Amino acid sequence: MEIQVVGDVTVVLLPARVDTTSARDVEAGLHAVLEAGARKLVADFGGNDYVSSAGLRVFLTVLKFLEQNDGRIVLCAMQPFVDDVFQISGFSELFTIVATREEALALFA
Amino acid sequence: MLRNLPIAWRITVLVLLGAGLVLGAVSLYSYLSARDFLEQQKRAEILANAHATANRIDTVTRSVEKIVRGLANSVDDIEPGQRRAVVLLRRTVAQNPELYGSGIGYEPSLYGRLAPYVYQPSGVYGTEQSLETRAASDLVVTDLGRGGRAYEIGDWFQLPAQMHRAAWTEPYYDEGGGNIVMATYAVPVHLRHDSLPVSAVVGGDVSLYWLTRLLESLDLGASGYAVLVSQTGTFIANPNQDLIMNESVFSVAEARRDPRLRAIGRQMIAGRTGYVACDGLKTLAPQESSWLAYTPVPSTGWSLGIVFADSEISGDVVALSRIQWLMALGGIAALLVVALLIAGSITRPLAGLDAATRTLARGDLDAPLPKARGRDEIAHLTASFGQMRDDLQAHIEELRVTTAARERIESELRIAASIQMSLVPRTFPPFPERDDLELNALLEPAREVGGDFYDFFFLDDDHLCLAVADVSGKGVPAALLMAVTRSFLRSLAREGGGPAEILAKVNEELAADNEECMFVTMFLALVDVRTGAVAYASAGHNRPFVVNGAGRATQVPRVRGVALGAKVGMEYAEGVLTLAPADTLFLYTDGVSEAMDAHDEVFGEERLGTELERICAGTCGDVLEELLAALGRHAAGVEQWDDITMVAFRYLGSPGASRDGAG
Repeated sequence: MEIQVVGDVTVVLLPARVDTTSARDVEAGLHAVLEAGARKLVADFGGNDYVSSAGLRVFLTVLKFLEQNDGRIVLCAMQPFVDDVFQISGFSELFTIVATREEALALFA
Repeated sequence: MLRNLPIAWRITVLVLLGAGLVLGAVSLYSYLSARDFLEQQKRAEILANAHATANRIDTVTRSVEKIVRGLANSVDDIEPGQRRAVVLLRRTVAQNPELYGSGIGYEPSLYGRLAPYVYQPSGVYGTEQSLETRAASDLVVTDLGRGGRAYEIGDWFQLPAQMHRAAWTEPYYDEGGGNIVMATYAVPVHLRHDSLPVSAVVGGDVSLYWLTRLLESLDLGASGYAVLVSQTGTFIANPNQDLIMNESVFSVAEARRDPRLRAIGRQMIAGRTGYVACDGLKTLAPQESSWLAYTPVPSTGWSLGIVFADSEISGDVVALSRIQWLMALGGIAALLVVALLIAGSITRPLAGLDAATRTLARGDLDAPLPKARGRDEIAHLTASFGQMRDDLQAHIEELRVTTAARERIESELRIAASIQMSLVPRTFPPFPERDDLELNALLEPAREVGGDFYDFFFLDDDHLCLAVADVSGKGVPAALLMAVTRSFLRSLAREGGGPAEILAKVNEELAADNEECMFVTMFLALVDVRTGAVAYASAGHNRPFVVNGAGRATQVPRVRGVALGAKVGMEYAEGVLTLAPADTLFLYTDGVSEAMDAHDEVFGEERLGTELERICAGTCGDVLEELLAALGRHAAGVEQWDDITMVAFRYLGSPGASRDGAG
């Protein structure tokens, strides 16, 4: 999982799959970023093509933490199948989801 | 064969074989060269002995020759008369012990047969010591021509008379004269006062007994003996008296049919010197194999032979080689001990290791290993073996711990599965008394239990509640959350309200204090079995299919709704639809739509719709069975990852309504 810092925004590039196996690593990585003080997060799904329900849970924990700590997470660059997962589960109502990273960064400007 | 022996013996055998070969070769070589050397030495010694003896005989015979020649010169001066001649002969015989007797034979035509002869019968052997004791009275005087004896036909007279020179006779028995076996040196004498070429012959006798005594007195070892043969090969001296004068080398060779001995005899009478193998010369029959050294006695033309048994010559060699063989055997024995010690020192730790291995192989990992000493390969092997055992022990311990852990996990999984299965209704048909509906459901748990569930129950006589849910996560936590969710659903549904309201209430309960952020997707439908009217709501769940009586499958329209437990205060939209008789409502979880094949391709909702259209003619149970089979074909051996949950509800129409319709 690659982490980039653009200004005061931390951009996280997600791995190809966030399933039961890799969800634990993604969760640890994201929470490390949060504990380091990041409050403006962009999750870039450009390199990701699968998110399982365990993966959804990870994003939910990040969302809850940021909501309680005056932070914000924006998801971007989702492929259709991953977008479907968010749509079907209704999580698209909980998260801000935009088409590109630029749009995501613009939301923090 | 060698392979079956213990290593120590193999090493020993090989070392002994190698060392034995080398030792054997060295011993053989030194034995052969020593034997050669000893034989050369013996040969030189025997030949020297033969020469010395021949010289000794020669000294005697030459001395006799000299005496007889001196006597012959004297005869030339004296009158042919008995008295003077006898005095001369007596003095000569008395003074010369080697002389057995001496005589003068006159040519009979001069004085008639006259041959005075003096000999010493008591001093037969003419030994030197008898010189002092010999008295003139011991001498016997006789006339060889007395009584008209024809002495002139004897060899001793004929040889010099015919050849006009001095000569040794062949040995002969002197009957009427000395009466012993003798050889005579005879010298022709020409007297000045007559015209005959040979007027008389002077002879001097050597006793062959004396010669035999002389040869017997030689120190020739245990088996050695000397023989003397004449110019014709006849035995003059031989330890076997019977052979003297009676047999020759040639007659012996004839008796033995031994051409080699005949050749030896020819060499001997030809006056040669030699050293040859022969079978002894004491009897007519062959004796033990021996060596013969022969050399001539030049004055007489005789040949002296000295015979030694081969065994005596090789005796020294045998003694020498016996010492060598004993030393070699001793060396090999010492080598055997050393090789066994070395091999033992190599294999003893191996044997210990072998025993330890057997113990270990029986499962006793705590058995002590032999101590490794030094830094050789065996010490390394022992150390490695010890390391291996320690690793094995550590591994077994680790395996024990992990096995225990896995058993714990597996028991948790069993618990989770049993929680899951105990909470879903599993009796089909669930409402056998009703003929207005058909209902079947199926839950195929994955190995690592997911937490799917389905539920259906009548809220009152006419309203059936249908639910399918999928709890996020797996294992015991998921199973527990499922149990909690089901309880909330059952209790909150009975409080009344539509499906959206029920979901909102369940969400409030689940989202409160949801530290773990677990969530549940759920599709909830309330069916009015009188009319087929369905109200439904979805909490982030897959949209079910409706398959109508004509076999067309369509997904129910989407309604908004977030998974239960994600966030408090969520609102859920509600959808409505109406089922015609024979329409089937098919609910499922993503274990169906996202079942993976070997290439990570999901089954997909589109294909699910197609499959439903294909198989919808059967009963609800048949439809579920067929779908499960289709999923199995799709997975094609890939392990089922998620729970597979399906509910099929077929509305058959209200009997009342159909009665109404008929009426």
